[in-house]
Amino acid sequence: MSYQSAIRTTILGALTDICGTDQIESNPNLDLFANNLLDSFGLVELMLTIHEQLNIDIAPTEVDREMWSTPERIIQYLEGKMK
Amino acid sequence: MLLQQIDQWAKSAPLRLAHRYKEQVLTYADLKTYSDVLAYWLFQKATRNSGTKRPIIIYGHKESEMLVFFLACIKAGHPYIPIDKSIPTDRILKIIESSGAELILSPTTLPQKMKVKSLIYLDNLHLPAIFDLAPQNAKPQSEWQIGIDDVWYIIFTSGSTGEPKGVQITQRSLESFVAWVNRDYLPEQQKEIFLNQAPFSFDLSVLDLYMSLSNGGTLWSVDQEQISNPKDLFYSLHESQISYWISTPSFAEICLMDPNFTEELLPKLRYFLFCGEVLPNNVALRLLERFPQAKVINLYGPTECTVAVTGVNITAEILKRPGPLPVGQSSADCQILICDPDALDKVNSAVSSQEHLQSLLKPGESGEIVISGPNVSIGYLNHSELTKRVFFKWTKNGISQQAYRTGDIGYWLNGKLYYTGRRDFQIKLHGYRIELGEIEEQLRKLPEVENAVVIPIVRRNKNAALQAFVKLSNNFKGFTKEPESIKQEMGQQIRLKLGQILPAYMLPQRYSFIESIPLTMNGKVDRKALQGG
Repeated sequence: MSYQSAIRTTILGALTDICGTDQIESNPNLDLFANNLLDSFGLVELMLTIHEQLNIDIAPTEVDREMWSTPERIIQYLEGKMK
Repeated sequence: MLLQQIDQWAKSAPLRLAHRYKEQVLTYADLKTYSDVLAYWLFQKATRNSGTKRPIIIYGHKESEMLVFFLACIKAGHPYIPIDKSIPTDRILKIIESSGAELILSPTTLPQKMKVKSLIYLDNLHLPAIFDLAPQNAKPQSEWQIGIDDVWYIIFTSGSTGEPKGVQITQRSLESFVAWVNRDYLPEQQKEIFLNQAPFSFDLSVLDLYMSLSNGGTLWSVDQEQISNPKDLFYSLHESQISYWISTPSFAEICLMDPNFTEELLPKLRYFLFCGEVLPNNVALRLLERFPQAKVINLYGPTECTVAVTGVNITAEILKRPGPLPVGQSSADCQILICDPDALDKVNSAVSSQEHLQSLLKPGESGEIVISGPNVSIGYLNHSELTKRVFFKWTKNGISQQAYRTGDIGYWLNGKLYYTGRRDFQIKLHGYRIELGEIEEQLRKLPEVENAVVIPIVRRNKNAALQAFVKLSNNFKGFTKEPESIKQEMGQQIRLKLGQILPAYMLPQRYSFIESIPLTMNGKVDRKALQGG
């Protein structure tokens, strides 16, 4: 599995679990904050999952909140970080 | 006297900051002047008119006006009810109704629905405008202020019957609590800066607010917007130079995600004071590693006993031992007893000392934690039945003290108190105390819902979110066979409706639709089956 597909699979899977909705898979441009699907605590869980499953560390202050707003933006940021 | 202790800083350190919130600052001189003038107006307007000292609702978030309003109420002889603006209006209306409040003060705009005819309300009330209410040199008379056994504040918590309940804390209880934390955690007068993370409607804020004000400290508030934007939060933290960190462990855990959360960010930090939920071992360990100059204190206590009644310094030595961290040790002011809950059930309404004493368990034995002493609340506001169920007099050696059954299960071992769980369906989620029964009751009130069970979703050994199992009414027969997208839409609709009555932290994140609620052999809801256990 390429790192791109590993990132995509991990993020979509983790967000589906944390946000508790299958909409993540069907709509990767879903606004997670506007739809009340992700809060500060969910964000911490996501960062821990990224660390554990992808071995990528992201400091909360490293990026703006906007970066975490949709599954697609998170995936793109991580892909850019791995290049 | 706490109020005099706070007011005297206006003389000895008038220009010292009592509060800082973003760009807003409030000096001790301002705090006294504005609260005096507002108290004068309150007494003329509210007390004199009605002849009673009914509670006053203070609605807002972290504005400096909140502190002024709190003290003004006390000076005019009224208890106050702090309500954060994140709480839904329908829930606030219930609080207004059940509390008998007669007046609302707010530095922000009140929702239209809150402007009830029978109430006096002043919204968008900012500091300079207080001088429009009464002369700038107006002074409240000392006999107006609340007495030692009068209620200072009322904090509403989740109630298992479906309605929030108001915990009344008297001046005596608050002063006993403040004296204890000042004695044990040694703040230096006029030197300290205290972090205020919790909203004022959450009783954890009582710790930072009054520890700070009683010592001429500065209360440094961060708001929800900053908390959800780590860049802003860390900027504020660095600027703050706080010496006392007071928060839930969950909040510190978020900050620990960032490698910059070290003593370089907060070089003056001396204490982490945690309360509100279980402090995980690894959080304490990482804090001690990153802040070697600071002490990590784990505090324990319910809202009904004035924030906390005991605390323990979590040292590297304690962290080496396996198992959960202790939550306290012997308390100078309160007794923390471990009792057989079944034995207590039998004698709860009685006041016989012998019968209560018989419920006491030995060190090492696990049972219900009972707290007695001056910090214990006088009971729930306008809920005498509920009060009788959990508050009683504990009499020993002829001395009778107010006692509270916490519903927490714990034990004493080697002089340390350990908490192991709950007797009932109350949980802690990110520091917030939630009665699952209250959410279930609100779900059942929706016309499309026949019955519902709510359980916590546990991740990484802690409660992470809530899941609702919903049995829809007969009009929705066969709904469980509908496609996933339809079920999700229904879940969203239910969440939206619940959001009008419950605060965001009480809203289930997931909704599962079931044909029937599984029951155990005894006919009780089989929560384990729902959890997939």
